[in-house]
Amino acid sequence: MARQTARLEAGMLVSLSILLLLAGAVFFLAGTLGLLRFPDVYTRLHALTKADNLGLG
Amino acid sequence: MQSLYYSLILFLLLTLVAGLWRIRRGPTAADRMLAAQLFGTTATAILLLLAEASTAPALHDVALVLALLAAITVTAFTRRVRGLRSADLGLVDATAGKDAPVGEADGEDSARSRKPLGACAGERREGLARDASPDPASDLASGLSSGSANGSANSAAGGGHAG
Repeated sequence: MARQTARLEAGMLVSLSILLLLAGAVFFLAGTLGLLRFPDVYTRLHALTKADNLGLG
Repeated sequence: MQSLYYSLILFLLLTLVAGLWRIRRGPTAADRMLAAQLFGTTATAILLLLAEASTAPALHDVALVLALLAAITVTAFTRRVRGLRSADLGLVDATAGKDAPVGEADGEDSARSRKPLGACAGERREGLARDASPDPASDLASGLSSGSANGSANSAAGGGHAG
């Protein structure tokens, strides 16, 4: 029983970490696309902060 | 899990290669600095993923050092730009003090909104690419005057925010 709950906890941990890693990758992609396509320095800075704070954090 | 780590590392490397395009043609120096910031963040993420994938915990320390150096880089860029702008302001004051009365109260702020920097910002807003600008000083100054174009109001807001 204890072993089963431990296995369940490990599975939840792995799935949660996969979810968060994919979300971070999506934010990195969004930040890079914004850096490439936005027209102004300030808008590019906005996209870059998205990649910094949400992608890495 | 390992394959997910490695595929994410590959994806981040491709992202980094795409960001090189902005360094190749960002019109101003500030754009190139933003791209370099993105490179620092991406490299930190890559190092963290690599530390988890190949179970080498020393790479965590490398990632920490890289994040620290990215912050220092921004500080150095800002200091350089501020020194260059103050030198430019000295030139503006030297030429404008002859035909303008000196009686203005806040000399620095009024000189910031005076003609040469504003003219540079207008050029920049028209979308002139200055890739082939001969001297890096004017390139940097024009790239920076985005901060002074939108401008005086923006610096005032920044000061209030910092205070």
